[in-house]
Amino acid sequence: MFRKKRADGDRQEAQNRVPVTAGMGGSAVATIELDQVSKWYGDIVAVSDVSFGIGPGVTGLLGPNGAGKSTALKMMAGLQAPSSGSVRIDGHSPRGNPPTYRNLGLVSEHEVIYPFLSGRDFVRLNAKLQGLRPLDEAVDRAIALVDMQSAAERKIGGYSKGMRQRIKVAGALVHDPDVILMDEPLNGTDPVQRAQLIRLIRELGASGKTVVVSSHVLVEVERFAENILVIVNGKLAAAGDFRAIREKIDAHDHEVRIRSSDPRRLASALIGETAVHAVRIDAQERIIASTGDVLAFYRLVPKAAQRLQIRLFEVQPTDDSLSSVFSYLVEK
Amino acid sequence: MSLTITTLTIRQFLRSRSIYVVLGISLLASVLAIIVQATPGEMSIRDLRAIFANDLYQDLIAATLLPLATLVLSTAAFGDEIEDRSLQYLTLKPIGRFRIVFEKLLAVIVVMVPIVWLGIAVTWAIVAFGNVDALRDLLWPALASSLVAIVGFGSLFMLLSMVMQRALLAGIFYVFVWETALSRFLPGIRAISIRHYTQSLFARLVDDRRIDVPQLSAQSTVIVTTVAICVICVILATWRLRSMSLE
Repeated sequence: MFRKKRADGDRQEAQNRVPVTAGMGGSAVATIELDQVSKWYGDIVAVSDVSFGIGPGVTGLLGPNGAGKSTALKMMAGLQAPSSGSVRIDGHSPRGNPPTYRNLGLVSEHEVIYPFLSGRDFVRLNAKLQGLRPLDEAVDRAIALVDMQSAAERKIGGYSKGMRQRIKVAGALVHDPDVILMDEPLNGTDPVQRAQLIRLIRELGASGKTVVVSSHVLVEVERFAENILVIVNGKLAAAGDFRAIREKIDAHDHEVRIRSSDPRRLASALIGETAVHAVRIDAQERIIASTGDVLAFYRLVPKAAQRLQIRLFEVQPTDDSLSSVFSYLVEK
Repeated sequence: MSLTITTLTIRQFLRSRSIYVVLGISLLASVLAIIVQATPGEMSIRDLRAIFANDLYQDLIAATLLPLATLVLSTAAFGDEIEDRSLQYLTLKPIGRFRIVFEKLLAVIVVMVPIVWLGIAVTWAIVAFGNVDALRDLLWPALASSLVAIVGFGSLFMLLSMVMQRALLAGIFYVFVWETALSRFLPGIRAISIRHYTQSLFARLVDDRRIDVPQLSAQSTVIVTTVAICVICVILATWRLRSMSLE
């Protein structure tokens, strides 16, 4: 009798829950649900009346810096309470509900980790606080996932930024959670570390876990997320399949900034390419190129530089460009 | 229960600057004891007992140094992690908030006790130099009564660091205005002063009429009140940790 009642209750609860906005498809029930969530600090509105559901797979939380992505992630993790609305993980509020963390891992954007601990000690600490037994197997597995075996015995204080990011990921995954939240996990990583982390994120999504990764870099998100949620000025600007949103974004030009050893020669080479709409050199001798096809442009630049034997120091979208790209989505 | 958080916090303390400040404060009375001993002139046993018991322990260590040293360490227990945003490595775990608070307080006590006892023992040894037997009965009451200050102030200041950003300043204000100035002139406040309980327990344990504390509290009152302060502060700190927004 009790079981039946409980089953009926669960069904009713599932019916009341938010459908998936990003993840397995519209009919599935979401693992992470935000229902009319707002968050404000005094007069500043960080997140405004946002509702969505996220199912298994990798979902990119995309938006310019200061858009409200980190605040949304912190509310999903229960670190902050929404000013209004509700956040649920597997049907339960994570706020003031420690058992939720048996199934949730957060990789925060903050760099500070206990510098006096070795990487292994840090992962072990996470495993111990999760109550895992035996510890060693889980710790070794998590360290191997981020390919940190060779540096695991070193103190975190001596780690590079990329290594700190990876050991934080290991700490968040040591208990093999089904829900994983990552706040700008690729920040500070070199290209090899970045490729490894992207592969790991994709594998986690493919294995059926619900992975939410925030980023402000469009091309980066495209490499690991099938679905995206775009947050601009605290509001949900777009949600769903990446390609559909991408088409909308690609209808507008993007500005990319390039620092190189010979900007004028590189600019001359780029100007004739079809993906490049305009090229100028700013006061700091940096190329500012306008393109309608970012992916083709990112493939084109290193090839041109290699052909002309020019060294590249930086290739990245300008902040202005990012903001305007996201604003296209709000304009509708 | 494995004391993972206590162990972690002790390691944090041992490599922080706070530990040197606490050590320095604790040894300050020893410096004064050296000056007293170096002052020319013969001192009677009675004078030496009064110097250690009344001047150095009651008026300096219990009244000022103990609260200040405890303030520095207990506000760092949570304050540093809130400031550098590493507290989430503890709060994002399936463990009760009470356990986090309890283990943090335990770490404060475990680190404070040997440092404070070292300061008291060194001070006593300097004053008692050459007259150890005559001052022997003063040492253990000083060590025992210092526990009241460590537990009482430790839990109070740890709570303070969780409810306000400038806990160190507020704590200094509390020590000098409430515990020192107001409790001296307003008898009612003395009854709810941790310093008064520390001094009362010391006076009771020494059992020497020359060691005087106005409105002396009973041993049982001291112990029950200190435990009550600690329990209330831990409960409030647990509630605060549950409702706190973390960056």
